Formats: sequence, structure tokens, C-alpha cells
Amino acid sequence: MIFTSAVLEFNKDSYKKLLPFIESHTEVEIYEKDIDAGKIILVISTEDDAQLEVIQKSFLASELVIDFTYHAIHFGESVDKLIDGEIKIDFEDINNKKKNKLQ
Amino acid sequence: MEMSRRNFIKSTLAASAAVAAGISTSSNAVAQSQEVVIERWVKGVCRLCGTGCSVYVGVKGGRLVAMKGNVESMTNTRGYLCVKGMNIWKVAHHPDRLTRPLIRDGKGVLRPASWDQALTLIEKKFKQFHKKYGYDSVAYYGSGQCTTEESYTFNKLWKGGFGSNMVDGNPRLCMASAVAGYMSSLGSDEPAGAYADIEKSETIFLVGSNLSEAHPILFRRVARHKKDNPNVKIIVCEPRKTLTSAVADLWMPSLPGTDLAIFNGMAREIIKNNWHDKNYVKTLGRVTIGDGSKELSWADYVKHLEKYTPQYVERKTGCPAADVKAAAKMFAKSKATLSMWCMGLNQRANGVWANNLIHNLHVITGNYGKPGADAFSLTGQPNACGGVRETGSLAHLLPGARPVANKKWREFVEGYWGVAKYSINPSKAINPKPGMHAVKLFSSLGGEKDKTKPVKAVIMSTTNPAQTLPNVNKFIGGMQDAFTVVIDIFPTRTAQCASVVLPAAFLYEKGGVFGCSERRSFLTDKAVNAPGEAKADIWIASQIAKRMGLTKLIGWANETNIDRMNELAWTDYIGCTANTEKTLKGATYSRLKKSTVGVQWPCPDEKNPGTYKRYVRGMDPIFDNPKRYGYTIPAGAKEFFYARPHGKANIFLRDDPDNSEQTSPAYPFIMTTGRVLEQWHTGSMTMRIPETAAAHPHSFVEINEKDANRLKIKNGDIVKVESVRGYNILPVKIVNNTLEGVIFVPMHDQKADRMVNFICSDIVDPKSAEPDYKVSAVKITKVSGPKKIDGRYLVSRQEMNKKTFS
Amino acid sequence: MKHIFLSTTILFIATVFAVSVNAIEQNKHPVPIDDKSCATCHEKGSTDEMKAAPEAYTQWDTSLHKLNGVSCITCHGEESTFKPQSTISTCASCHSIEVDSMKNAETCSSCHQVHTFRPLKGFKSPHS
Repeated sequence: MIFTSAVLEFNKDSYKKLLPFIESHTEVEIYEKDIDAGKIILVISTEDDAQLEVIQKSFLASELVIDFTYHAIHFGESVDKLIDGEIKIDFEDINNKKKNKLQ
Repeated sequence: MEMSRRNFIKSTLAASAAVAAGISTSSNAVAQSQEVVIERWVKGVCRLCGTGCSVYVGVKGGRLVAMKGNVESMTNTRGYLCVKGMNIWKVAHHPDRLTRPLIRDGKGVLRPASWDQALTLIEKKFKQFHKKYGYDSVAYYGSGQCTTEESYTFNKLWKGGFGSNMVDGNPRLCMASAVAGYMSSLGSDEPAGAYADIEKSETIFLVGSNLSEAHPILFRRVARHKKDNPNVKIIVCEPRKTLTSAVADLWMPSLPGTDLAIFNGMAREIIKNNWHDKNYVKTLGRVTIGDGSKELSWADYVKHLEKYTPQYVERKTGCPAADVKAAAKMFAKSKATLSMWCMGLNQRANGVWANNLIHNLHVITGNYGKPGADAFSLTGQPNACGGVRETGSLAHLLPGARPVANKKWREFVEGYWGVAKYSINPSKAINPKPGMHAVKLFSSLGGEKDKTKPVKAVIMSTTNPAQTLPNVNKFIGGMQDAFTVVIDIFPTRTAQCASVVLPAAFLYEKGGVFGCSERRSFLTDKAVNAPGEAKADIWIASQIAKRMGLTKLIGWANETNIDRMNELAWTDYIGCTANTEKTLKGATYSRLKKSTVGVQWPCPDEKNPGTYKRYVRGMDPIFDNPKRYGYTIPAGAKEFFYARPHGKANIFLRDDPDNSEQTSPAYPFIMTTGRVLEQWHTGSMTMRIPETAAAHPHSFVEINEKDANRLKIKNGDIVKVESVRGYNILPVKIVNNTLEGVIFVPMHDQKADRMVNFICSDIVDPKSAEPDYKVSAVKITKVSGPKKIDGRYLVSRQEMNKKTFS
Repeated sequence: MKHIFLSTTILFIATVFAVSVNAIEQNKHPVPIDDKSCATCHEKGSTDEMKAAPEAYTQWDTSLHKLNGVSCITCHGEESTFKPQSTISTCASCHSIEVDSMKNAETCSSCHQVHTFRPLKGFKSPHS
């Protein structure tokens, strides 16, 4: 499980329309908001970073959203799993890329 | 992952993001809850500076666990506290607390002993020395951090019981010049006004004081007053740009030791522009010189000031001529001007004159008596005023702060105390000759074999002269050779020199009265018991009184309850001074017990609310019955300095001599010393509190960027700062907004090679005998590049057995 | 491929962060302080190796708390007494009038921006 906090910036007048849009994302919780300043703090709980990216794309695509930026990510459980050998990261693509450069 | 941990992580992530995004967060509720449940809050004052903040200490399970400000306070209004006051309760239960009497054996090791053993030894030595070397061979050195009841008891014991005026205290090192300044200019010690003048003033002149770090709660009041009233002007005059300058409208630099020229220069400017109050000068001013006996004319004064042109002042002090003019205008043209000063003016070769010159400015502009106007000397210690000045616990004074040389007053006190009946001195009288002031006392202290040292024994409390005396190398040997008794709560450098160490009770373990800078006495109740066998000073004084045959003189000596002892001592004291202008007769012990605001003297009876402003009819009760106090006040006089003949304050002709230590090619820098916010005095308490120790774990030397470049010194380098007397090894801190040629070293470090008083000048003011800590000539040499410093140094129980300081 | 890059980059940042979140849980300052001043790492433009989020320091630097000598240590303690978040009893040491006036037991930071401590705009002060 990956937990990410993010700052969502929006135009304060569009708050009413924005709220249901945020709530349509089940992985996203609203933690803090300063409507006058047009900022909301979200915490997103996802299984992996691919899922996180999908959510980010969704927010950035909306015209109600001025900006969506990650602040911090907690990988606690995933790090434990990595150390225990449950997950393996595939570094092959990176190695190939390096080979290409040398040519 | 369990739910609570998950939620905690999410909350923390969100809070962090919120801070970064600059919005507030309510998720902090996870940590914001009352940590500790308090059983009861006990009323008292803060143990530290002369502001006199009143507090409540929180007690749980017989221990101090918290502190909060008293919201009804007249001093720390709205109950604010500074970081030291907030944490000082942590001292009480520290593991380093001294809990048993210690006696140094033949091998120099301090061994635990019983109270009976320690007191028997003290009794034996005192009696032996009294017989062999005279009653003046045994001294008491007290402190502005002892309670009034304790200081009064020891003072009475010595002056009334032993017939010896060998009583002095550490206020000699901080307030003596202010005392002499008030006595010579206004006729009576201590301010005419009060802190309430802050909120009524239009111009505030802060000089010789780093208010933001030395009296932070008063600084808060000044800053708030300015914030709420933008027309208020603040002038800050100092030798280094401190945090106090943040509120200055006008910042005036002055080389250490030279500011007398500035004050004379301002006076010249005021008179030249006709900004002075001619009527006030005529009715309430008197021009004089020297000891004040000879009256001179206004023309003499004006002529004397001619030399102090703005250009002369600029050349002498480094303060721009335009600033002198601007300061003069702000001072004189405001509706009410309040000056506040502290050690910058007092700890000087001509400290008394510096005080006189500030009073001059107030007299010539009529800035006394009206709301917001006063020449207010800030006191450093919490009870230098109440405990030492007002009880007369200095070598030349008696209770009521009147001189021992004053025959009439001396005879009154002799009668009140029953000296003729009870004294063990065959003279059966109070000695008319003053005893020795602090520096002279410690210069004269030594072993029996040393015939040049007439003082063979000293008992001292709540003070650390082996670290605080100037040119301290000179005095350590004498303290080690003499019979030295030290009363304290922690190991200190002075305890390291002692023959006997007695464990003391902390303020909240004994209770007692403290009187702060604004003449306000406030009672602290006992909140918890002292650890181990630690005892209150008043109990120790009583045991000595009993053993020396003085239980009739010290009537509370046979009591066992400390609160009862305190009450009897206090009642005796206010009875003694009831007919002086410092009367606290109306501040009975029961009234002080109930009061949450304390009482400002003069307060002649219980109905009187206390006095905000002295010397003004309708506000000062002395006007209602001046004869009772030995004064004469004309019926029509609205304002009158009744302690001066004819009620006129003195305007002194004072020069600006170069009596401080002068720089030379060999010692080209001026070193000045001072405080930092988080530490108190020699750090024996604040270096044991984690927060304050961390904020300032060791001393440093502040050097101007240009000077550092010339010496090829970088930030963090280790240098040797040396005078003709001694040296320190200190890390460098480069600053770029202070005067070239001036360096600053704080006073709090107890590590031997960082104790600044090894370097400090021991020139003293000729009138007050207060040392010139503010000006020493030094040289700086680089020792090495940056190195890790062993900070938070504390004299340990083990180190107390060693002769040398490490 | 892109997401692998993202993974590894974020993994590095996250490991550091995971360490620091664990530290917050245990009320420990994430790295040894070594008697350095807080500004050494937390002030904007710090050249120390271990830079740390300067926003809080910058906000405090312009606040009345700074002017009145209420420094980091006052609310956050020092290394042995470190609290990442201050507690209401600390605020109450000086501000007991305001704390006592909040009967709903709302926390100070609900309305006072940490660390400028300025109240949010548009609020009528609930303190008497």
C-alpha cells in the first residue's frame, strides 16, 4: 500500500463542482482545505505507483483543476515487501537504455 | 498494517503537505492534547530576571511538572512567559541537586556529613575567628536571588548580632551604580515610576540594555505598545546591534565606555533648541557637581555642555552627529519619555555618572511624574531590589536602604532590633563604619596564615563569585584558602572552592517574597518539598543564630515551620522600615498570601493599594504624612523629590573621562560582555535544562566581518581572546552589523577556558565599587580552524574535589 | 518503462521519507542535531548537507513569535525532548487566556497558521 499526500490547486469559485469530482475517486480522501486560497490537501491510497499515475492524469485532465502536485509518499509496506523478496523490480529497460547510449 | 498506524501515517502526510502549502491544519489534533494533568497550581514568581513575572507552578504527585503565567499579573501582563521562565521548574528535580551537606577533608575531597556536623564546624570556626581576628573577619555574601526574608535575617544577624557590617551581595556587581545614581540624583533609591509607564509613553529610550534577551517580557510590552501605537518612537543606543534593535526607530551605535558623551551631547542639543522644560528645571531641578553639596547655576551647566557638540560626540563615540540631534528631538519633544537601562550603564568605570546623566535628561525635559515618563533602571536579578537594596543588605546600608553612617537611622535600628541587649559584640551597637564591598571583600579573603588577608571566613548563598568576579583568577586562591561556606542547589565553581557546601532549597520548595524592578513585592508559596536534606536559607541562618547565642535577636530561630519563619521575618522587616519612604507596612504576610498582583511600595497601610508613581501628590502616600518619614513637603507642591533637600532633583555636571581600560597596539580590541536569551548567569541552572542548554551550549566570540577579514579568521574558527589578566579559547561567530573593533562574549559558560571573567577588567566605579565588565582591552589570535566544541559543560560533583578548574 | 523510472526515483525519496515518518512516530528528530542551531539546516538558503523543508522556518522568521524570542526550541524542544508537533500545554504556558476561552477545545492551529501564527482572515476572534 502506498500513501501519497498531494496539493490540489483550484479556482475557489469552482469548489462546488470540484467536490463531487474528487469524491468520484474512491482512493482519494480530503484531509484539509483552504477554499479561499484554492488549495486542498488530499491523501491517496493505492496499491502501486501505476494506479497513482492514473489518478494524477485524471486530475490534471479536469478543467476545474489548476494544478495537482505530489508532496510526499510513504512506501512503508512496499519497502517491507521488497526487502522480503515478495516484489522484484525489473531493471532491464534501464540497462538497455544505457547500452544504447554507449553506441 | 493496523488501522491506527495507517491513519497516523495519512494524517502526518497531510499535515506536512498543509504546512508546505501554507494552509492551517486541524489534523494536528492527533498531538495537541493536554499532556499532563495538574493536581494544583501554586502561586509564585519566576525564579529568574528582575522583571518579576508572576506564575503558577503545576504540581503533580509531589513534583513540579509545569509552569504557566499568571494572567492577572501587572508585570507579565496577560501571563506571558519567556523560554527560561517556562522551563525553570525542570531544575527542581534534576539529578545533580545537592542533597547533603559536604565537608572538605584534609585531602581536599568533599565528604557527605550531617547538618549537625556541618553546623558545628561553622560555629567553631566563626567563634574562633571572632575571638582571634575580630568580628569583621567573618563575612556574609548574599544574593539578589535569595528571598527578602532570608536576606533580612542574615543582615540582622551580622549587623545587629555580630556588630559587623561585613555583609555584601552580588547586586554590588550589577545594581550598585544604579543605586548610587538614584541616591545622588533623586535622593532615594529605585524608580519613581513603574512598568505601567511603558503603555503610556510616547518615546522610549533603550540604552545600555539588550531588552529583547535580558528582559524579554518587558521587550514584548514595548514591542506591543509600538505595534498598537505607530506614533510611539523607540531609540536604541548600544555598542552592538542586538535583537532589541528590531523595534528601533533610531539606532545609535556607541563604542563601549563612551556614551557619557552622547548623553551630554543630547542635553546640549535639547537646551540649544529650547526644547527643555524651563519651568520644571526652575521648580524641581538643581545644578550641582561632584558629591552634590555645592549648588551651581544653570549657566554653569550650559557652559559645561558646550564641549559636547554633535561632531565631538561622533568622534568620541562613533555615533553619527545627526543621530545625536535626532535622539535629542525625539526625547525632548515627546509628550512622555521613558528611559530604560541595565548593565550597559551600570557595569562601568563611571557607571554612577552614566546614571546621573540619564536622570539629567529627564529633569531638564520634565520627564518624571507624568504618566509614561520616567528614568527606569531595570534590575537584573529577581530580588536585588526587594531582598538586598530594600533590606539594606550591603556593606554600607541598613534596612530601608539608609546608610549605616546615618547616626539617627542607625540608632533607630539599634533600638528596634534590641542590639544593646542582644548583640554578642561587646560594643553592643551597630558598627558605624561601612564594611567591605564585594571586590574588596574577596581581595581581602584568605587563609589564617596570610596576614595580608583580614577576612578569614565567608558564608555565601545563591551566587557564584568564583565565576562572576571580574579578573576572577585573583580571587580563587583566597576562596580556597579561607573557611568558605557555600549554600547552593547545584555544584558550581564556587562550591569547588568551598570548605563546606550546604544543600539549598529551591524557591518553590521554601516560598518567600521577591521584590522586582518596579518596587513590587510578591509572595511565592511553597509548592513541593526540597530533595534529600536540602534546607531553606532562613533555616540555616536560624541554626547559626541559635549556635551563636542570638535567638532573642532572631526571634524566629526556634520555629520549625519555614512558612512561619518567613512570616515572622517579614513582619519584623516591615516593622523596621515602616517609617521610611520604602514602607511595606501595608503588605502584611496575609495580604501577600492572598494577592495575585503583589504590592508596590510605598504602602503604609493595608487599605493602601500600593504606589504606581512616586513623588506626585495623590499617587504617593508619603505626601499624606511626610513628617512621619522625616520629610517636609510644602502644602502646595504637586510634585516633589522629598528625599532631596528642597525637593529638587540634581542636574549633575559630569565629564566623559576615559576611565575604562584603554586599547593599545598590543590589545587592540574592546571586549564587551552580556547575556543571551536562553541562559541565566553562570548557567548552573539553565545549562541543566535541555531546551535552554541546546539553544546556547557554549560561549563564542562575535567579531565584525571586517575585523575578521583583517585577521584572516573565518566563521567557526577557534581563537584565543586574551587580556593582560587571562584568556579564553572560543569559536568565532562573524557578524556584520556591529561596530568594528568591538567584540562580544556571553557570560554563561562554566568551562574553564570559556569563563569570560578570566579576561574581564576589574576596574570599579569609584563611588559604587561596581566593576567595569563592559570594557576590556583584548587581543585575538587564531588557534585553529573549526573544531567540535564540547558544549553544555557542567561542573560535576566529582570536579568539586579538584583544585584546578577544567 | 516510464513507470519503472518513476518507481525507482520515488523509491529513493520515499525511503528517506519513510525513515522520517518513523522518526515522527517515535518523537525523534530524524537526524542527529549535534548542538547545531535549527537555522543551520532549516533556514532557506542553508548550505548545510542536510537541508530540511524551509517553509516553516521562513514563516516563523516573519512572525511575532520570532520578535519575542519564542524560538523553535520553545515549542519543539531539543534533541532529547523533541516534539515534531507542539502541544496545547505549550501554547497555554503563555496564552492561557486564549486557551481557556476555547470551550469547544478546538486546537490553536485550526485558526492560527503554523508558523506565522496569524489568524485566518475573515474570522471574528472567539477569544474574550
